[in-house]
Amino acid sequence: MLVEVAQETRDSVFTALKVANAIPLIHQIGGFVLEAACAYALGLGRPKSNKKLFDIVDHDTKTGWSIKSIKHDLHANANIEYVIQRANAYGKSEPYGFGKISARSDPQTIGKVVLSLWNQKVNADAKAQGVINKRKLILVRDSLDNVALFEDELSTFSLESLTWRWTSHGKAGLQGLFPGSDETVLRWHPSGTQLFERVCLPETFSKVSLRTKRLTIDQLITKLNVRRATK
Amino acid sequence: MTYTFSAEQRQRLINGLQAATAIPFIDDIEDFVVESILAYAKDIDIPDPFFETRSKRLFDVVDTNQRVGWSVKSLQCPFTPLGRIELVIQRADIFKKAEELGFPSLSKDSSPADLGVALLRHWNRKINEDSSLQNVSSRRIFMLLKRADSFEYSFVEEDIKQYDEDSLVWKWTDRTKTGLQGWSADGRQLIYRWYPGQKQFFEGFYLPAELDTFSIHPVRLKTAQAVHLLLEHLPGTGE
Repeated sequence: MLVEVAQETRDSVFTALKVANAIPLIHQIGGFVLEAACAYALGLGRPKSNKKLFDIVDHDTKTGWSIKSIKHDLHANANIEYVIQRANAYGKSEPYGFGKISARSDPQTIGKVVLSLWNQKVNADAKAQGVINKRKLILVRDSLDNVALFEDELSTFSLESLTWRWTSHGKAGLQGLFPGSDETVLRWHPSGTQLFERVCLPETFSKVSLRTKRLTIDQLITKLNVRRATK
Repeated sequence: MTYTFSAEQRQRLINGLQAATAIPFIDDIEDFVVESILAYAKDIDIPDPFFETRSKRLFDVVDTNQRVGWSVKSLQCPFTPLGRIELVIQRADIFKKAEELGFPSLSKDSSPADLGVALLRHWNRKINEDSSLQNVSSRRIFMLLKRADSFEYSFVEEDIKQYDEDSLVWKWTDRTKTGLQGWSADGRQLIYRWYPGQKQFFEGFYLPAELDTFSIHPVRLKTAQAVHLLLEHLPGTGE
């Protein structure tokens, strides 16, 4: 279950983001900017750009965080979806022992292939990055630059844990739900091969405005004392 | 035509890059970072993407007073004077737009000459339409070049070249038709390259003999240092 990040860490992330927000060379808060802010707040070194699942890793505690920045209204119990993987289930089913599959296959089988691909990605990257504690950090930002920061365990799924159904006759989207519930957990789109995860914001949380005055490049250069360093 | 920076513009470019390399929230000198530094070097106000949506038009930086527009590119490459570099200039899906480009039955089996003309029409139309929409009369490209193995940079500013439809010679790289090449009529310069698979249209640029290069001595701040240095200057957030 998604919970708010502990206040001290949260405040440090937001402070770093406010500073980043003031830098006139930065055009959006997300990606590397957010990773650097989280690494700072968690007392870790500069993140290394990589294509692996865990954007920052604490090698001492073997904790890895997958970090997402999502634009969405910030209200209690909001359902938020975001991409977690490109999962080419039709093209990569055979190595997982499901034979060749297509849109005509049983949705439960397609869903199991999707889960197999996700589990494989999580486990392979955790191993490659030396991660045992798998976490996710989610920054949600509304259109007015208010933000809130949440975290949860990063889940893998047993293949039987979800029930799968197409969202329409056109078979454009496949939903994975907890059995007996109407709660969508994952959604997979065959056309773009994108796998989405759905999370629900908590009942209560605090939000902070990142709005700040942008520095000019002249001010930035002066404050960083760049002129003296330039030959 | 190639343009040179004044000494002051050049220094502002270097100072801007020096600042960017110091910022621990910036992982690469590309895209908006380069656009904003060029605008700073040229002393032009550009829209702040925090408050206005960034344009997807050809000219990333526009001097509205002088009506000069720059398409801004950055490339990591081993540049040398008189060397050649190649940049993606457009995503050119000429098969999808075959009819409007004047070749209704255009395909990979069409003649290279027809494909080449379609590509030039597609590209020239983009230049002309965006010049008009962005109110630009002097259409330029600015290229920031960076060596991968050091902190040496170079830059080139020149007019965007437009070619007449019959001025280039087009041919496939080989029988597999994975790449189409557009050569100057004398066969000495490879001007364009297009890949039908990805639809990417590349332009080749021949660098000047007098290539302006400079080094940046990066003083990369730790995030804690940057936060400390800058936070106290932000209104309402002083430590």
